[in-house]
Amino acid sequence: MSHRTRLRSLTALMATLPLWLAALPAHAMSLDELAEHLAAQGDVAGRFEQTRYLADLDTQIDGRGHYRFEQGDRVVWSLETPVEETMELSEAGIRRNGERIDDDPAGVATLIMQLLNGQLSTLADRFEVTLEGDQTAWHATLVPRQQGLADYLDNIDMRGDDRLEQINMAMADGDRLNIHLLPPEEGPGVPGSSSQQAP
Amino acid sequence: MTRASRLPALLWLLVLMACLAFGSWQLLRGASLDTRITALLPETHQSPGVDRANDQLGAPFTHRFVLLLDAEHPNEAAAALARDIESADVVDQLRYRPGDYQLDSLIEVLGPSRYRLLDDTLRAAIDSGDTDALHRQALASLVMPTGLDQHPVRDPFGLLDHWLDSQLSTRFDTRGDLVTLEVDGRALVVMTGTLSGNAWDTGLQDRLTDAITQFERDYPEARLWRSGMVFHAADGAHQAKSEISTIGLGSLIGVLLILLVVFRSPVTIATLVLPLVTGGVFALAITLWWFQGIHLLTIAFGSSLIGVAIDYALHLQCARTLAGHDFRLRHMLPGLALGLVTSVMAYVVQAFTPMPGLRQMAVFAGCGLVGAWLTVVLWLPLTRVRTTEGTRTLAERLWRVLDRLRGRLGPRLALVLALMAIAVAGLRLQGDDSLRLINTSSQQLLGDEALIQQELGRDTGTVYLLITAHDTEGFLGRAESLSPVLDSLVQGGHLGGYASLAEHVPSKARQNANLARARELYQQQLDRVYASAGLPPALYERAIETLESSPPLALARWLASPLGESDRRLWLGDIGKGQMGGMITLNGEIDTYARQQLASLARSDENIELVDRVGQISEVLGKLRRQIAQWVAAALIALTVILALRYRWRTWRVIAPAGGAILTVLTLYALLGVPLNLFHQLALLLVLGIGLDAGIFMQEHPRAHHAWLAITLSILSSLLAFGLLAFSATPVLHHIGMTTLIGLASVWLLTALVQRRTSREPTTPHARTRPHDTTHDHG
Repeated sequence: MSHRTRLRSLTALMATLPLWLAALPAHAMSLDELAEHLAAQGDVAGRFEQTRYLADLDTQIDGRGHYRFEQGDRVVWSLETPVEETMELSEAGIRRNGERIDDDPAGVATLIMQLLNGQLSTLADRFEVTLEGDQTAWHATLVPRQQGLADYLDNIDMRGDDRLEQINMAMADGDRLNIHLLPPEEGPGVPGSSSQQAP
Repeated sequence: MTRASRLPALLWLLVLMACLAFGSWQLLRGASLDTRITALLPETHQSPGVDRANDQLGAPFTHRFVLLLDAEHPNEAAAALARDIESADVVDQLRYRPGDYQLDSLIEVLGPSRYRLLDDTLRAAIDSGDTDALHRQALASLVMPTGLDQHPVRDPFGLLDHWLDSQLSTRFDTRGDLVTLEVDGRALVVMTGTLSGNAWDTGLQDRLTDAITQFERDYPEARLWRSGMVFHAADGAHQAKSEISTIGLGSLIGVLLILLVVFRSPVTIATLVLPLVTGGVFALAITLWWFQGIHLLTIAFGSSLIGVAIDYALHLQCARTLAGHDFRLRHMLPGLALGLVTSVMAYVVQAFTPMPGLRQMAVFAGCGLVGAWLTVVLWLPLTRVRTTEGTRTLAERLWRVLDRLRGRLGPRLALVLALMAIAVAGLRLQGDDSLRLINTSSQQLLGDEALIQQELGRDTGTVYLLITAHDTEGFLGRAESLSPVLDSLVQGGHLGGYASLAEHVPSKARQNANLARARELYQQQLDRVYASAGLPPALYERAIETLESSPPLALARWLASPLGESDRRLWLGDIGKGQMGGMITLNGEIDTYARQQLASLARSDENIELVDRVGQISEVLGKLRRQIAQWVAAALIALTVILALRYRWRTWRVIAPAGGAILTVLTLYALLGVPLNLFHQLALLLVLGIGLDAGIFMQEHPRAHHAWLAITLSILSSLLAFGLLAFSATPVLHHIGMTTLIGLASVWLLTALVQRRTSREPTTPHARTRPHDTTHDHG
């Protein structure tokens, strides 16, 4: 077995990081508070625009699509251009265009579900998480703890106010993946009234 | 006693003190108690390739273990289990989280060669010309990479990712932060450990088992499966230890009770036990000095010496008890000396076998007997014995039993019976040399092991194909050509699976063919991909350039990388005579059909050898069994000649109890269909030793009640000590016990039956300790 398990989970994590980051609520100012809110999070849906910047070619590839997170069940990430492709994460594993990707670890989907449900100890295991600002303008930085992941991924930077707006992933080789989440089309159920204290 | 006899006694005391000091020092500084069954086996002499292959393939199973864990809260339970094991100081490395597996230089190792590494699906897709799906996938992953290093120039089609997909086991998942394996719909946590020490170190075994027991106590609802040599070794050692101690303790109490009834004096009993203790101390010290350690089975087997060693003390003390002040040691010495020489000879012949374990047993046995004998001769006469009426009455009663039995088996009848027994045994007796004999693992553990080996495709490296070639390329080509054969065997259900280097490192020829295919794919699709992604068409030249400069993946490079770590055991490299060698291991059920196919394959190609380690060891066990039988038979003939010098025509009476008992056991086993194994034969050595003693003493002192009393007591105590082992669940101990039970009972009966019928001449119960005090009889 050895490295292979490690490798699969890394691949899957890289592929799905934006998905679960997209569902982080905007007002979580400490990991614990975040945990509570994640557990109480409703469904979130909207459109996204993303840009992959390739440092060595000094060029970029743009993409567009929509996303949907169904609390505790499913994450759907649908690319519309330049090519149509839907990634779907659930207890059953990862599906690409409705077909289960062969040998993809269902375990990672579960891991993400658990994360989104507030079991953050696992997230803290893999990333050093820094939260700054308050709920009107917050900023989180995630730095991988493990060398294996850090070899590819430098950090993840997230910003937002009432909701998550921007995810920037900086790769170790200088490449970047920027994802911009547009405002939700339908009521995603952002609880704005409950006042949370910034740490 | 005289001053002259005190000096040797004092010297012997000094020797023993030295032995005691040396022995305790050795044990305290942790001289190893070996429970490794293979330590008993000889070094097999075969091609150096096979020897190295055996070592290399067996190592991972020996040094590592695997645990599967099923628990309600796997995260918490796995962490607790890991904590228990880590704090037990038994592992160098414990992996159960994805982060525990080092990822390292994956892109560095495989990246440059990725255009030459195509899996079967990709090859088929390119060959079919239908590459549109690949175009779409490429585009999607360029926008959002779903794999490693998916770069427009370096790897627009995700070839590296495809290759890795085909290489990675599909069975492993991660759940939470755990590595899991799905078995029957349950996600089991997979924990692998590398031992920090020797799997046969009982201290390490205990610490690991304790840690696991502790975990099982804390998490009673959790279920654990175990795989690894360390658990088997621990299981075997544990069972043997507990049985030796329970059965051993039971029989010790029994023996002491009988002796107490007979002698009615704790002091006399103490003098009987003393030679055993001193013999043990002497034997242990010499063995530790000679072999730098001692095997558990040596102790188990060596304790069978108790039966023979107590003989000398019994004979001496019985004689003294019954004779009182008339006792003279010199009348006893010839019998005692002959008893020692014959027994030592019977045990020491094992030293001539090529089995290191048996040599150790022979040294232990020989020293133990000599030590006990010296104590009897040098120290026991210095002690006082109490003459009791009870002992005398008992001796007389036993004598009457002997009188009723004696003379019923004459030489002619004995000869006829012996010939019949030899015929039956020779024709019908089967041998059993299977490894099952020495397998001491519990059913539970064997079940765990089978499950884990099946689910993880882990093998013990006991059945494999050894492949040789002039160079690495030749080896890989040969291994590659075997893959279709093995695949079809696996698909047909004849073989569980196999591990081959060719799966991970294709031959250069195949890598070149793959490169041509990758080039074709680029030519067909890459322009379109760039256009759709909005990338400059000029990148095409750079991509092709990167592809063309791709170096082949070399076997050495792969093996040196962390990813190839688990494949290192499959590669021998240079095995001399300009040959390179490597293995393909076979795992799971290997049926007769698969064996035949592979054997015929190996026969037709001198560069392929099918090696079955288990089969080889069985063969060695069989050879050994026959060797021991031959040596003991030769020793018996030599002894007969020696004994004939003293006893002339009465020699048959000396040999009959031992020889007859052995024949009885063999004939009985032949008739009952019990196949004879090595351990039966080891027990027959004990029967031989006691039988010869009985025969000698009855001839030395044919009228002395003390001889018959001592023989009876000796056999009774040995029966208690070893006959009880017949009820052991450890196969080895059971075989020893069963044989001893039948053999010793026969010795007693035969000793009585073959004694010369006496005229109604009155006998005195004492003072008949001188030899030749009756008329010579000629059979």
